[in-house]
Amino acid sequence: MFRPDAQPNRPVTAERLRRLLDTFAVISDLTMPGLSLDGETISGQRFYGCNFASLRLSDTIIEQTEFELCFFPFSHFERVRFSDLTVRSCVFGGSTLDSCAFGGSLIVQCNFNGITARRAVFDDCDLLHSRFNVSVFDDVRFENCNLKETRYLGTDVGTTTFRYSNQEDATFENEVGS
Amino acid sequence: MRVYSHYCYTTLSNCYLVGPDGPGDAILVDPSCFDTALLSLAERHGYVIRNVLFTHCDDSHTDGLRVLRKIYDCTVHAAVPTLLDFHAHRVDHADRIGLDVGTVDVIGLPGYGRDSMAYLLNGFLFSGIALTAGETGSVPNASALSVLVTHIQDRVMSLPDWTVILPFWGPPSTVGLERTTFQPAGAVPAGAGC
Repeated sequence: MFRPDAQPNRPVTAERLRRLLDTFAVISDLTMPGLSLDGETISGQRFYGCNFASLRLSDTIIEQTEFELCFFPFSHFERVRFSDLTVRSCVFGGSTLDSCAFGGSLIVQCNFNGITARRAVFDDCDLLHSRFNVSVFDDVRFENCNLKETRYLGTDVGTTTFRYSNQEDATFENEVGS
Repeated sequence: MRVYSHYCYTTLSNCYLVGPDGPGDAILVDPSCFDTALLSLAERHGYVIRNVLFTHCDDSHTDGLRVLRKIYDCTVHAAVPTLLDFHAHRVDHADRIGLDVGTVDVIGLPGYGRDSMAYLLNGFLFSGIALTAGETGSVPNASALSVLVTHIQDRVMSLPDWTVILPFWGPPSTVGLERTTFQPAGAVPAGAGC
């Protein structure tokens, strides 16, 4: 697990991450705040206990990859396609998602509080216990998702699509889920 | 130091295994279950669970303790002197507990209950039920909510932004994120959701 108070002891560069990905199938305890990645493809990796705070990710594909206890607070994701991921207990809170798609992924118990999502798609995802409180949604879609115990307190979901999802199992502003 | 999160399906809650980088004595936080998966996790890393921290003392937090005590000879730390007939090392706000992996600072968060504690260890705050991502735990009335929120503001929000929050229920967070997303009004009456 990364040390929350630690500063990176090596330069935070895409090149260094690429070398690590080429060498190891499992990346753990990595501290890379402020990393910027553009046009990458990450596939078949596993990340555990990593700190990627204030990450900037654009035009990137991340597929068949596992993340557990990884932190991406206050990051910026633009035109990123996530598919077939397993994401457990991760933090995306305070981030911006612009034209991003999370397809067919297990995204369990993740913190999306305070995100700003524009043209974001969460289709065919299991979002059990994830939270989207005090967020701003513009053209966001949750289609065919498991929303059991998800929470959207303080988030206006008036224009959000939840087709084929168990919306009744989620908690929205001024409501209590079952 | 390594931190592992274990999801207890019986209570839909988190417990945390904290140990050194190699084999050695470990800490368990809120064992609401102690199943084979958790035992395997400890065994795989060569951990011997020597200390157990409880952030709250109701059944949902302590269900794993009897099984745990049959396997490990461990010291229980809680805000009460006995727990399930086991003697406990009673902790109070501002206490410090010296353990192998580091010094644990005890942070009292009354409001949810007088026995509600959080534990700060090497930048990780085990916040229990009192503070979950963006919300307080369920409290019985507005007065209790006010007490809890006051203590969260005073004792948690004053920690550094990078402090990682690991709650009993729901996803993790950071103090920096809570400063922008925490909404006390999100609390709902006890028994109505989590």
